[in-house]
Amino acid sequence: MTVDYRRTTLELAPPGSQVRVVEIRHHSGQARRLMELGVVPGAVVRVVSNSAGPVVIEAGSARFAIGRGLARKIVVEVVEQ
Amino acid sequence: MTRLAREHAGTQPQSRAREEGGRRRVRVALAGAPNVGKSTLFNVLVGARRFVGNWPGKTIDRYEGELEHHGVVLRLVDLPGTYSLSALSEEEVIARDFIVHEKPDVVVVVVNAVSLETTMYLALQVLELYDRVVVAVNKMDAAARRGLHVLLDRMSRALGVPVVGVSALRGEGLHELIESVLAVASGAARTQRLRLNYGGLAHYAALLEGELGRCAALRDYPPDWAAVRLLEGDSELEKVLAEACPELLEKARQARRRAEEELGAEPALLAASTRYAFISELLRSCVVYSGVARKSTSELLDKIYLSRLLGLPAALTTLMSVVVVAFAINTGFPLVQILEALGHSDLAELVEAYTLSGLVNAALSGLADITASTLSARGVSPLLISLVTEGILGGVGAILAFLPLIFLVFIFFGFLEDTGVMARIAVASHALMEKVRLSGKALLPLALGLGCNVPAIMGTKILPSDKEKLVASFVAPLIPCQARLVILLALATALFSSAAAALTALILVYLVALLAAGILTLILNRVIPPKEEVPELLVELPPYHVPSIRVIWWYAVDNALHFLKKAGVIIFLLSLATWALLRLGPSGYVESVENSFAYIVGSAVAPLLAPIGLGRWEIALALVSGFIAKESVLATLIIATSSTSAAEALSRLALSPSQALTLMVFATLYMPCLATLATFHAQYRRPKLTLAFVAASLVLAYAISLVTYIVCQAIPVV
Repeated sequence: MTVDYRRTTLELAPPGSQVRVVEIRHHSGQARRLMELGVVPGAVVRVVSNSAGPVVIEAGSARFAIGRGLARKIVVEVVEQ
Repeated sequence: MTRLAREHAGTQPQSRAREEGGRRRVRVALAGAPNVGKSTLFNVLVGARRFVGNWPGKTIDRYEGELEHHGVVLRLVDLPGTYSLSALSEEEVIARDFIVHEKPDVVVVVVNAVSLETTMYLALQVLELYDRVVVAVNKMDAAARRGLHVLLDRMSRALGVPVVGVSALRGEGLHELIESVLAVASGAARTQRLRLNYGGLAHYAALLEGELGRCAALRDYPPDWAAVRLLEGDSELEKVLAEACPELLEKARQARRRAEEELGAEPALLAASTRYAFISELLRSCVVYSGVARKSTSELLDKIYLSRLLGLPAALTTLMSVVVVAFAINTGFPLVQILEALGHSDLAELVEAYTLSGLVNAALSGLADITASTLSARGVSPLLISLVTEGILGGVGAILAFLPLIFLVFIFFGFLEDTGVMARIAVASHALMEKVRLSGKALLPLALGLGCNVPAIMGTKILPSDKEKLVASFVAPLIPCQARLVILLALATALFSSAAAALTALILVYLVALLAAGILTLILNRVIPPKEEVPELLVELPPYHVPSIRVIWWYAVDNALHFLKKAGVIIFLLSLATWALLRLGPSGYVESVENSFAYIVGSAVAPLLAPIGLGRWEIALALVSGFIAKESVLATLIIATSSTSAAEALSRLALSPSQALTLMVFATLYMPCLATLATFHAQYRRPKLTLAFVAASLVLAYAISLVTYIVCQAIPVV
C-alpha cells in the first residue's frame, strides 16, 4: 500500500498552494452548501490564506472563507506548493 | 433528450399569458443567488410600481412589482436570493415552491458575470426544474473591466434558453431582457428544460422515476427531476412522500442506499459533481479572458482583513468607525461631548440641534405645541388634549424617533455590504465570536445594536442557522444602544464630579453589558436545541467594489419600510397604553403623575427594586416609562422628582455612588424597549418566545445589578 504524503486536510494545507478536493467528510447543510459553491471532489482550489482564523480559498474567481472546523473535514491533496 | 416533447404545459404557452382588462399580463419570477444584483435589477425594472407583502405563512418579505412594455403588463415577483433550490432554508423552500406550484410564465435567473462559477449553480437548478427560463447575466460592465467576456449566444445554445447580458445599475440590456421574457412567454422563443447526464446515478434515477408516477402529490414536479432529488435526499420531497405516499418514501430511501453502496459515493455528492462538471465545461466554452484582471487593491485589503494579527483589529476599527459616524450624525456623540469639554458649549448646543434626532425632536415638539394651543383655544378638555398631543403624537413620535436612526444604521450597513467589506469582517471576527459559540457573521448585527437594537434584530436574518438567529436576537437588546448611551452619559456626568470618574463608570457599564451578552449567549447555546450544533463559518468573499449609492439607498429604504410595516402598529399601541398609565388614574385624567396608575405600579414595583438599592417609586416609575424609549427614563425621573435637570433629580434622590452605578447598569440591561420588542415579535411571531425574551432580560438585569450593588458596596472607594 502506498501512502500519499501529499494528502492532508484543508485545515493543514499550506497558504499559496493549489489543492485538489478529495473528499468532504461532513454531513450537514454547510457541507452541501460547500458543494453548491463548487467545492466538490475533484475540484482544484487555491489556498489564499491559512493562519489562525478561517481558511480562505479561491475556486475559479470566487473566494470563500471556511471555518477551521469545516476545513478539518475536507480531505485534499496538494497539487502544487 | 428524446422525451422532451412530452414535457410540461409549455406546449401551449399562449394560453398561459393572461388577458385581464384587455391587456396581456405576464407573470415573471426573478431568481438568483445572493450578491448577483437581483434586487437592483428588480428595482430598476419596476421603479416605483412595487409592493411589499408577505410570503404566506412566512416571515420573509415578498416583493412584487409591475412594468408595462408595449401594452403588456409584466408582473414581477422577486424570489428570495438563494444559492440553490435544495429546500434547506426557508428562502429556498419559498423560491422552489413558487416555481413548482405557481408555474410563472417565465423565470428570469440572474447570474453574476464576475463570479459565474458560483452563481451559475442556481441557474442550473432552475433550468433543470423549469422550461420557461431566461438567464440574465448581470454586471457585464464590471466583467468587461476585468477582461472577462461572456459569449452569450453560445451559452444560450448550450442551455436551451435565451441568455441576455445586462448591467442593472447602468440600465443596459434591459430592453432586450424584457423582449426575451415576452418571447418566451408567448412561445415565440422555444425553450426546453435542461437534462444533465448523471452518469451512474441516472440508472437509479430512471428506476425510481417509474415508481414516482404513482404518487399524485408529486404531479407538479418533473418526475426525472424529483427522482434525482430524492436520491440526493431532498427533505421537502421526502415530506411530501411521507404524507401522501409513504410506501414510495421507503422505496426512495432504499434506492439511495443502493446507489451509495454500488457507486461508492453519496448520491448528493455525485449530483453536485455532475452539475459542477457541466458548469466548468460551459464556462470553458463560453467565457473568454483577455488581459490580466487587476486585483492589487483587493489583494492588499484582503492581506489586511485576512491577516492573523491585523485582521481582527482592522475589522473592529472599521465597524467602530462606522458606528461612531452614525452616532455623530444622529445625536452628535462624541462631537458634542468633545466641544463641551473644550469649553465651547454654545457650539455644542448648535451641533446637537442640527443632528438628526435634534431635528426630529424639534419638529415633533413644535407640532405638539401647536396642536395643544389650537385645541385649548377651542376649549377641548385637557384629557383630549393630552390624548392627542402626548398619546397619539407621542406614539407617532416613538415610531418616527426610531426611523432616522434605523435608516442611518442600514445605510452604513448597506455600505459595508455593498463594498464587500462586511464578509471580511465576518471572517476576521470569527475566531473571537466562536468563543461564545456564534459565528463571525453574528458580530455585524450585534455591532448594529450599538446604534439601535431594532436593526440588530432585523440583521440577525443574515445568520445561517435558525438557532444562531434566535440566540443573536435574544442577546441583541443587551448591547447598549445609542438611546441608552444618552442616559448613561447624563447619569454619569450628573453623578460623578470628575470627568475621569464619569468616563470610567461609562466604560464599566459597557463592559458589564458585553459580559452579560456573552454569558447569555453561552447559556442560550446550551438551552436551545440542537445543543451540539457548532456554528461553521462558510462565507463567500465577493470582489471588493465601489459601492453604488442607489443600491445602498434601496437597501435602507426597504429595511426602514419593513420596520414601519411590521413594528409600527405594535409600537403605536404600546405607547398609547403607556400614556394611559401615566395620564390616567383612579380619578380619571390626572395632571400629576402622583395620582396616576403609573404611580400605583411604580409603588408596587419599588419594593422589588429595594435589594438592588433602587427601591424608590420615582425610579420604578422612570423604568416603567423607559419601556417606550429608553430616553424616557431620564425625562420621567426629572418630572417625578419635580426637578429641572438630571443632576437636580439625582441629588434630590440622594443616590449613593454604588446606587447610581447600579441604576446605570439596570437601566442599560432591563427590558428591551417597545420598538425592539415589537421587532422581535414581528420576526418570530411566537408569543411565548416574546415573553421569554422579556423575562430573560429582566432576570439577567436584576441578577447583574444585584452583583454590581453588592460589589460596589464592598469596595469602600466607590
